[in-house]
Amino acid sequence: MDVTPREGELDQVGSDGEPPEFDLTPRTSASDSGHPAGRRRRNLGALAFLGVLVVAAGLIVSQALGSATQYFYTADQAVANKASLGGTRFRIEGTVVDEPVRADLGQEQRASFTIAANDTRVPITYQGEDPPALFKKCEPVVLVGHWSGAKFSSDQIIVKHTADYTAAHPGRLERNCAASRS
Amino acid sequence: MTSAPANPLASGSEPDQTDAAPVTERRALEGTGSRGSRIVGTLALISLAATALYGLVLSPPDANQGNAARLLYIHVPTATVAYLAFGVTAFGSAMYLWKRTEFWDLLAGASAEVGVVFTGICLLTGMLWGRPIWGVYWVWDARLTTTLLLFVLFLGYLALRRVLVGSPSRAKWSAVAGIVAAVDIPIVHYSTSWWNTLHQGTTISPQKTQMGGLMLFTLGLGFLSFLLVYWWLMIHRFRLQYLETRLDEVGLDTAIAERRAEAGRAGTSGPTAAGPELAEVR
Repeated sequence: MDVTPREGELDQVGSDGEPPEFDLTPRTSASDSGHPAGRRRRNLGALAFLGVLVVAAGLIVSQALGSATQYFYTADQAVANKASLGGTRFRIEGTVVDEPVRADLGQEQRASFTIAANDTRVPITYQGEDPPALFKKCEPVVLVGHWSGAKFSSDQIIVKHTADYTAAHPGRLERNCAASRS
Repeated sequence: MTSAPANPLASGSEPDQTDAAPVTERRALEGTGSRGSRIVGTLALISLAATALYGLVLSPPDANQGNAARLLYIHVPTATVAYLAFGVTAFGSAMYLWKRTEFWDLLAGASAEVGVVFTGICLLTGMLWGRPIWGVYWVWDARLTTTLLLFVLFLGYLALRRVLVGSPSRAKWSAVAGIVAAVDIPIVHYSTSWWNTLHQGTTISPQKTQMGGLMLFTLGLGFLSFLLVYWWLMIHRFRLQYLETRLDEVGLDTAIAERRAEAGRAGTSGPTAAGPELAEVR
């Protein structure tokens, strides 16, 4: 490796020890410069991190993406696929069309109500944790559970919020109910 | 101790030391800042302050969600600017593969850094919103899953850049990775219309905007703010990456300079004569 000083560099270094100007010409071998040991450690850490990320991305694609594309069945889809769904656990979506009848069981709550999507109504029986605060009539919900006869038996309520934002609009929820009948 | 004349922080009489510093030293202290970056940074701060004022005080709470809706003023702009940032990474990567110039590689790298930060903020604010509104922090629906994938992919892109530091093909492989990762951007965007997702669909579209006047204005302020923050961060991260690639070269020059200085001290008879000779042996 050639370390003979370039022209004009000697004076700078000798006089005040100031570092020379940046040299923008590319080096022939990058590994000769800087602190190789420190960089190797950093590279190993980065390599391990990259490995973790590759595994994470693989898990997301293989495990989650498949079920994510069918996160829920709308009420009408759930009715149409009732035979194939059988007693399996799945998510059903629809708008709550009546005032839920709720009963407090201490640790849990019980509720019965009806959801609707695209003119198809499904009666729901729920027993589980306290539902989210937004759970009420005319609110679209996603319910986790299974078919139990003509009813859907659920143990988790997730509120599916609409893309609607209004400062104060009393008609908002009624529009949801109207939309579920269309 | 009632008075502290020795404390430089408390004393105003002493002249500022930095005023006497040589120009080169002062430039080194400024780092990646410049007149332009400070203007953008100031505008970003003003815009962020206005967003906070409108977002937290002046805009009304949502009729149904209450105050949780205010997270939207961060969540939506960070998501959109993250799309933009990763789009710039993909564009810079493609341009690098075409032009093979360092500028495009560094632009892609810097933009991915900012994009990852913005995606992280978007995921966090979304989770904070989800708990009171949905009832859960997280669901594995298509929008959330593909967004998390986007986060992991570009974090991987940055890790790859770090792994390949010093490799001559770093820019090439980074560019390939940047373009591959960007395939997820349209999937994230259209996930709510392609599949059944718990995440809501588009609120603002040319056909229909489902948002009130002052809320919409505040959201617009949010967009402006995070665009400015993106711009400001890009200036600094781009310059930092530019300096980083030169760090190794400076390291070598410093090492040579140190050896020469040692040689100069060792040779008592004639430092200028002994210097270059010893430096060659190293």
